[in-house]
Amino acid sequence: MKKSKFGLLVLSALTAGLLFCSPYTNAAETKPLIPVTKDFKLPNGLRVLISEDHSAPVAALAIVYDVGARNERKGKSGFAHLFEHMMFEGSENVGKTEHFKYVESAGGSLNASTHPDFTNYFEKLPSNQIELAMWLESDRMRSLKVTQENFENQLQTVKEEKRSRIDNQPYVPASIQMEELMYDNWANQHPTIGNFDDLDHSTIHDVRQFFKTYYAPNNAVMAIVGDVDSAQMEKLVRKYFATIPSQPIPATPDLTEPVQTKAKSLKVDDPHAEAPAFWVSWKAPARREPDYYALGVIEKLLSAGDSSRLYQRMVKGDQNALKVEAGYDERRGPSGFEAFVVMKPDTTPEKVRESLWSEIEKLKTEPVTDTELEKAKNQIMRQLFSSGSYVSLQRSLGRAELLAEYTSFFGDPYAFDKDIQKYNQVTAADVQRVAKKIFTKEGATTVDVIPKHADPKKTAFNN
Amino acid sequence: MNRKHIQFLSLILAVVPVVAYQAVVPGQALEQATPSTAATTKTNAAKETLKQVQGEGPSAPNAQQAETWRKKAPALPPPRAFVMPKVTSYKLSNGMDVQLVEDHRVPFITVNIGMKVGTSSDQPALLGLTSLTADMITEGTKTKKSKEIADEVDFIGGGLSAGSDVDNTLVSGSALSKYQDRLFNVMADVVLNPSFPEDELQLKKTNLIQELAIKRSEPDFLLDERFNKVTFGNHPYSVIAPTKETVEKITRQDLINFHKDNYLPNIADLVVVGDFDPAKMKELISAKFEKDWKPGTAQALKQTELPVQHGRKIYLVDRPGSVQSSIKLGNISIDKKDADYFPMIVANQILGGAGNARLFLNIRENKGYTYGAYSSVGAHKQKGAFAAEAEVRSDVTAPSLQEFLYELDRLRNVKVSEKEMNDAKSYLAGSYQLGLETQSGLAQRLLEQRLFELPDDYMQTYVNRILAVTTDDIRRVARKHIDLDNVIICVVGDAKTIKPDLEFFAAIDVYDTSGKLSNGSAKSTTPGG
Repeated sequence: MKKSKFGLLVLSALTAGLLFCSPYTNAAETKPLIPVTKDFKLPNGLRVLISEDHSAPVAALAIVYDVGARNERKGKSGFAHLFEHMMFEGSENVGKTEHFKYVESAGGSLNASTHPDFTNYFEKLPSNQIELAMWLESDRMRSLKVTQENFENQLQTVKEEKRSRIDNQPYVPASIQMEELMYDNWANQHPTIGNFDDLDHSTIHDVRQFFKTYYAPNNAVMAIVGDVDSAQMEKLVRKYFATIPSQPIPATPDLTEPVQTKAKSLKVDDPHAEAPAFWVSWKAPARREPDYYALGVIEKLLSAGDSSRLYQRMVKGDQNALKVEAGYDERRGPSGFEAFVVMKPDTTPEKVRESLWSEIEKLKTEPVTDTELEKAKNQIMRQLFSSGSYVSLQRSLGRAELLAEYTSFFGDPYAFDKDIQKYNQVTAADVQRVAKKIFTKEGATTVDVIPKHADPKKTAFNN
Repeated sequence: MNRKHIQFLSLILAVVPVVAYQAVVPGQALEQATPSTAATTKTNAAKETLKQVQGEGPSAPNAQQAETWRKKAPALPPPRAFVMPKVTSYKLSNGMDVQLVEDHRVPFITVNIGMKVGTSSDQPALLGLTSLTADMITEGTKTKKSKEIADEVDFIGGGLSAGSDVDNTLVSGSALSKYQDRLFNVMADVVLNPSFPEDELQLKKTNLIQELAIKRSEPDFLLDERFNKVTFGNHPYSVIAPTKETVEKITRQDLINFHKDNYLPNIADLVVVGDFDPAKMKELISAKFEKDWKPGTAQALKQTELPVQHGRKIYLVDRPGSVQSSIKLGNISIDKKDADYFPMIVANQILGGAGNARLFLNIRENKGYTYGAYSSVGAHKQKGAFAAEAEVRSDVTAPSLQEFLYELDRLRNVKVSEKEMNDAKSYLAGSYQLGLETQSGLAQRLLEQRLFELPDDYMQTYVNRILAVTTDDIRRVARKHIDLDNVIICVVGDAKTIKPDLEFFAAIDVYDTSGKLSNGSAKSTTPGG
């Protein structure tokens, strides 16, 4: 009886609300892009941001924990991610996998992701259901429960994830080897997914220790965004999170990355690739370092849209590439700038690299025109405002994640607006100067992918 | 502010971030550039929400064990009324349908044009023509070169792409709203005046052929190729990609003719969502899409008979060295307007719509065989396939198949509980609404309603139609649309390792990755194989 009644209630509840009824007009220059209506810290150290916005009947909650693959110890690679899986295996009052049941049956969605430099958990719900997310997140923050059986099951799941999304895919294992080669410090270079040997050496004891160390309220930032009442949210946050004890602040990992003085290269056989490919990558500045903004603009110049330099040069002009992309893998610490080219079959990597390098040299020697610079900046604006982008301001979850990340990393939710200003201030001279500094021959790491259909006998199967 | 590595690595599958639960359900494309012809659905859920005991903010820091009020999930708030966004609809004199929605949250505008012509209209000898035409309209017009179009689109902070799926062709554009005039200029130009330059076409064809070769290295492609061939036989839905031979045959004149005959305002629907002034927008639309665009006679939809399956059979694509097996099983089910559509999407939700559906809980959570197991309803303009699929470790291929069959059979035989059904309904209704949060999500739903000629109140009544489904309906449609006696089972994997165990399930035809039957059993008369 009760159950079906609730089912109905949930339903009608989530089919509610006005879409786009109270638009905030764009006054991006004066008003912050994500106005924070409340910003407070609980006595246990949990920092909370609330951004009230009633334009769609949706609310999102995002928590960023200041822990990622870079916090792992040698011999335990992949643990941060394995742990993330354990966060779905139940806590004192929430059963194994019930996060999905609760959120999805309220009409919402949820997930989590592990990065080199942080881990996030998030829910998106019809806005009048948002308390559910607080109940779920607070329960696992205070009382994660792990059993040997669940641990072993998730160990298998993670291995399967590795096989499915990495080992069995063309180019992906090589991309991991590229990062391992590009960085010199193990904290930066080892893959977030880890390796099977390390995963097998993880124990349930590690899970408990990791939880205690990194999943404390004072190591987290939470953002709630959308069609909510800020004062009511603060009351609920205090109710659900205030009694969770804080923990000693964990040590920060040593991420020091030496300047690369000699070019590195590697050839990787790929049993699943049909076309040869290669990476050229360089070490790059961390997020919000002075050269970060110009390098962000360079990424757009090289690779955003069909008018971008690499596409026009290599796919359309020289016609020696099937695909070419350049991406700034931006992290809070040492980062990478990576160009990836899938080659046409009837050429050589050396020839194709000449095209790539000549575009790189052009960045250094010829100033970008005003129009092209403005185009690149408009592409950055597009990333903020279009529907599909990860950081899209159209999405309450996108806004929640931005607030939580910026506040966790830099202590300042409005650092986001400052970043937009700094992108807009990048000059043609900045582009040249930063290109010269970053894209050196000796600082480059080149990885060639050679298609090689596997002999089944030789297939790595570490299980 | 950018997490560009996600975009960057998406080409080769994101290595970082590593996501706990794969959110993408096969076949679903809620925010992609193509209309959601595959009405695939997501998740189900389960929840017992009871009254929470209101406690005053607990003050003792060590009172964790005492917080008994946490035992229960928070009580549900009272329901609110559903309000559709305000849509202005009208028709142009040339027959083009227009829908406008103002959204002033962000200085951005999203414009979609859908045309009721899809890859199903390709002639067998010229497979790929519909897609290639769409792909080529942005590569040059009577007055602009490819590079000039790309420069303009990128300068206005825009995006412009065109593509075709089995039923429809979609041209989607977007830009910073201060450049909306320029966006309409370029969109109208590529839709009305493409010139299909010979050199651009040659490059596109060469690259397409090379990409097709690369696709052959991907297990997903091999799986869908085989599954669709067997399932749809001679029906155009059997084709998931053109071949080298047909692409080579396509000429510039074929594209010119196809465009002339099929890019017609009377089969086109325009949706604009964004930060605009409605009066000015109407003028802009009339100036760009009414004056110079003349109606014509649209092609009739081709109806082809679908093959009949005789008994259960396994179609195994041998991919030596594969560390995994990709499994997909299913059969023809319904079209988008079928009376069983809503019961079917609820049934699918319970079976394999998402992370707490039966397939996922059984095969991933309980067995640990896979990273994710899902099912989907591919309802198109004509009947599509109902299918369940997963990638599993090679050594558990047979046990996984056994679990799939068990779950499909269970849905046919045992009535689902009210609770399981209600959770599934809640999810479907909720995610529908959540999907309207973005401009492209809303535009896509508005377009879908027109392209599939769904009732005018389709969006308003969507939730009620889901609500009306009963547990009896679910068993009835499962029995009607899941045919286990004749189910088509496709597997891509290392035949040497997995074939001996699969032989206990059904007769096996083995194919190589080029699609050739390599050592089929005696009765290897596979439709279209």
